[in-house]
Amino acid sequence: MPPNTERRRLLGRLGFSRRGTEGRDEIVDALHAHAGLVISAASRITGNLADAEDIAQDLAEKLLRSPPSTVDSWPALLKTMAVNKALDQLRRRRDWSDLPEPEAVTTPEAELADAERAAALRAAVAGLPEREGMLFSLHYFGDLSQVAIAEQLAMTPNAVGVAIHRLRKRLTADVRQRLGLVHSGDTV
Amino acid sequence: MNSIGYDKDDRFLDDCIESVREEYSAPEVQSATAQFRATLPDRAVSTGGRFMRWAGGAVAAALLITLVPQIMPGNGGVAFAQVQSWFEDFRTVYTTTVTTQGDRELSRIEIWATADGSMRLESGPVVQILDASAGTMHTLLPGDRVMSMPVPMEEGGAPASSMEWVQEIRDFQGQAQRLPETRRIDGQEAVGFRLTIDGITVDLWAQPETGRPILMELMMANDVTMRTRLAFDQALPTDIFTVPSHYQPVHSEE
Repeated sequence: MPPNTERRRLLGRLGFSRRGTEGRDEIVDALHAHAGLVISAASRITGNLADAEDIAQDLAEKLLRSPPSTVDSWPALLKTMAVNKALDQLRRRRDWSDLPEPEAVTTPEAELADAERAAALRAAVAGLPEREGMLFSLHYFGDLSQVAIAEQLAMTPNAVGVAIHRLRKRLTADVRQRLGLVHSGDTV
Repeated sequence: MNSIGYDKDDRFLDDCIESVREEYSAPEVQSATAQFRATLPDRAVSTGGRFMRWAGGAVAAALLITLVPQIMPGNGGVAFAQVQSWFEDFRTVYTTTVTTQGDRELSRIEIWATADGSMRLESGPVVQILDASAGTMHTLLPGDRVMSMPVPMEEGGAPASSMEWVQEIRDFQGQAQRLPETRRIDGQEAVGFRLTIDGITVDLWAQPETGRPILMELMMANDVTMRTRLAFDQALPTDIFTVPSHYQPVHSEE
């Protein structure tokens, strides 16, 4: 017969630690509640729903394996993690062959397909430095406010606003170049 | 760049952003979201409250019973001490715990355990295996993957933070009441003992001849009931406490 110590150990293992159960349940609840936000943000960046599901699963596994000690905003945290993972995956892609080579003869903007625009923007975002990529993606693909982004990235809201403004100019030029657009809507 | 050009550039980038945002329709995103949600583990408990301590802990709840002073039934028959002894002397135990609210099932948890500390837990898609000798909990994930993490062990071998829960049970002082009527469970007659712990009523049903526990019921607030079927000393499959060899470990990305 197992001694009391062994029995206590076994019986303790068969029950859940109250603290561990509550923390785990909070994570599970947050993932359920904000699953749509995670999938949406990740799919906008990767352009692939299956990839977005994989990213969401990786994110869930990471959180359950290493629970955060405190969370001020689950939506903001989950979006930030999803955007970060999605950008990593985007940058790992090597084949951008679906994009047309920039040509000297321009294409009228009106004739550009949505898919071409989306692909060019993704490629441009993937080419940004890590922090800038996060800033832009959290705001335009993760729908986070400048204040929320500032909290997640340890910046001031004003700095976030200035950075986004500069990024818009930079990305506009980059995307135009990728699409073979020389001037703003002009045709050569 | 003049103001007209600047406005055009703004609209151009916004159009590109919109192309990205609207690439998938709402139903497509909702479908992917539902698929992701289906992969998430169940909550350990489905409602709040003190019965959280009992989730998946059928045998652990029985530990409480072992701390209750035994009572001799007034009209003979199996004594509560006999029922308690099954939780001390078992070699293997298999439990199935079903939690319901009214007639709605909230959760279902199965546990296999041996006296030497090996344990397997299954709840929905979640499978966990405790390797007591290595102090490691393995969680089997979809896609034939396994996530392993150490289980902090205290002196004496008990997982850290679990003793807090056990100690709270040990502090209980009360007595078990022999229920006046027998009950037919799975085709056999059973005698019952009732305890009340922190406002939670616990009924333990056992075979009258041997005191072998076969069913434990916890009745809680909001019409929530937890029923645990118990099977002691059954032969268990030899491979249920091992991680299948073809499972790939999940590594931390950091």
